[in-house]
Amino acid sequence: MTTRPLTRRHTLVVRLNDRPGALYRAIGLMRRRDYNVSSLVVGPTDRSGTSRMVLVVEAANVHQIVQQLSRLIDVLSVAEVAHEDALFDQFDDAMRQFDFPVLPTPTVQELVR
Amino acid sequence: MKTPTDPALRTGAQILCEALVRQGVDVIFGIPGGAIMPFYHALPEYADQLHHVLCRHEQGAGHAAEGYARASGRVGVCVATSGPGATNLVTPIADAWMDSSPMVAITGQVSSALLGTDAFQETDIIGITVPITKHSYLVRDARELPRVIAEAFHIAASGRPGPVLIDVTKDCQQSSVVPDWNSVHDLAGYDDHRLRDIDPAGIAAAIYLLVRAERPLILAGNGVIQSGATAELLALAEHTGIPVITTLHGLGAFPQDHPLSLGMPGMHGWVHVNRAIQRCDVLLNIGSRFDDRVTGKASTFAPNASVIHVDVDPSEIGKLVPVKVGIVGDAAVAMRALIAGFEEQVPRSARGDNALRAWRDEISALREQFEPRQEYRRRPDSGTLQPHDVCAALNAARRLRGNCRVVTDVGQHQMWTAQLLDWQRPRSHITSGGSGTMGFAVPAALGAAMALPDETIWVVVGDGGFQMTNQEIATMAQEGITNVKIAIVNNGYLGMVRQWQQLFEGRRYSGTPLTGPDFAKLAEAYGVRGVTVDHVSEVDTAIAEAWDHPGVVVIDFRVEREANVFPIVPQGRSIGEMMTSAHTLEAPALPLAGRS
Repeated sequence: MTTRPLTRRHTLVVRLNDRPGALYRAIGLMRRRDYNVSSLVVGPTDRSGTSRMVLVVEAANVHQIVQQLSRLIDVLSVAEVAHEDALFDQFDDAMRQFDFPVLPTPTVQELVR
Repeated sequence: MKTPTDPALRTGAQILCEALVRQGVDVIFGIPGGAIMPFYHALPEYADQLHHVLCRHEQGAGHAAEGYARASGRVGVCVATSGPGATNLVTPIADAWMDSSPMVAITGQVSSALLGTDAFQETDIIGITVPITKHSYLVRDARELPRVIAEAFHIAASGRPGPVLIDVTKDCQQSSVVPDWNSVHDLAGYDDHRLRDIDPAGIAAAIYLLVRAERPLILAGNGVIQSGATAELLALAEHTGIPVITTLHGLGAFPQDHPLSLGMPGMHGWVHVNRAIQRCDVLLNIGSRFDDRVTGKASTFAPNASVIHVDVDPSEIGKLVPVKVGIVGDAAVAMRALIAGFEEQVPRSARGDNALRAWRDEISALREQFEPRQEYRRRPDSGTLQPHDVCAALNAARRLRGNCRVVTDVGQHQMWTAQLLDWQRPRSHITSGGSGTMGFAVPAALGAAMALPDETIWVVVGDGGFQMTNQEIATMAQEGITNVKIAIVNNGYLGMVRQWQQLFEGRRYSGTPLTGPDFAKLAEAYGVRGVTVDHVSEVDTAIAEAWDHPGVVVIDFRVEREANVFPIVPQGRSIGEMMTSAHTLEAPALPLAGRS
């Protein structure tokens, strides 16, 4: 019988190069190493050429995730920050509840005209 | 000011060639195709410095680059076109990733205007290889090529080595620019941990454990060879008197005729080695990654040991086995610091031969009880040809003639070769470990032969793996290679799978019986010598004649069909439990405490 190790939520702030593929590398790593991402925000930083990714992960060994992310050459730094459940709950709620106005989808006839 | 007549103008393809030459590359392995044609057009201008080996399959080109890298320690380079050319490189790239081999793979890509349009032979090779490369580049602007090539070689070879992919669009190769060879690396996010100072606190903690240990062991892996740290390993062992275990990729890191050498641990390691691991109180791992083929069931591995782990890759420390002391850095530097610390704390009278007598006697007793290796070598000269006979004869011939390199494939023959040959020097044993890639050996030997034209490269390969990539013998013939000798351990099965089916699945031989062509005739068809050996009395002569023959030789050793690799740790078991025959499970008398 296998017991799953106890997991806890952690927040990681990752600074990475703003280059094609950098985000793909970081996100792909989370999938293939079987890490569980519960929230993800990506945006620009004050410094040109770099972007910032904030992720919340469910993990038993967050140190291993930090090390694996740090191996990526497009990742400049990884820091675990104090995890604020309330902040992410608010953010998740806002994303869930925001009513995005849907734009009309053109028909094929409109596209080829 | 650039003008069409500017004499400094170069095409992207020319810049690519020149950048390779500037990195000291003298041989590349590849196959041309549409999207890489401009590169091939430029190649003849650099023919004096850059020799291209035309392989018969891109997988062969990739494994050849790996073999070149593993034999020489330099970066191996392979080239392919877009689409299927690039995807055929995926297996060797994954293999280089798992075994930390320095490799640069260059692929052509469709022109930038066609990117993302499902153009002819367009494949997102970067997307496909992200999980198995250390880094990768898509180059669309030829002005980036000098920097990208320099970065790629630096990344591939430094820190923990690995494969780097450079995907170059066709229009980039065709465009003309003035190259800037003074461009600087842009690698703010890359940490080559080899260059870092070793944390003295880690060394102090390791010394504290080592000087108090009663039953310590050193586990040496690929990292020792990659770091060029075999002299340091020898000095560390001789200073401390600590016995040394070498993993599959560590074979040759420590001379196996040394009294402190124990041999290989793990699934097919010797019983006494695994028992020693289960008994030890301090385990000093230098440059190995606790692969599951070494640890068996990880939670029961070395249950009594405080583990010290030295690795150049910090993500390996604590990944699989709990560690008391982690030391990030280069193996040679770390071992020099350990030796210095040990000398400071331990009087001369308690070093070397005077240390740890009881522990070494305990291991010697285990060795006498369990190592069947000498029996294999004393086999009577009768009966069916055994795979062990081939390994024993090759080992004897190598002793007589001096060293050679041995390249193995994956499966039973790989384990027999690892077990039964004496590994004395680094880079003499080349195999596919982490990835377990059948078809590795023949093309990897091609690469090793190009790197070391003055040495003999022996291939030991099964009949299954040989049938996956033997077309690279045609490449050897075209290149005029003479120093590759191929021993096929032919048992007419995919032998390792068959062995598992025999031992664990009631002899249900599903999908494992295997026929093949007459391999000697096949060799002759390729224009090289082919020999068939059916009897043990012919083995020595066949090996000697192959060694002396000025050309590639293929020997088809038709061996006992159902010979097994013993000992073996059944899957999911502790390494303390080993089958030494189909009917014998050697388990420790007392249950070992699991790691809590």
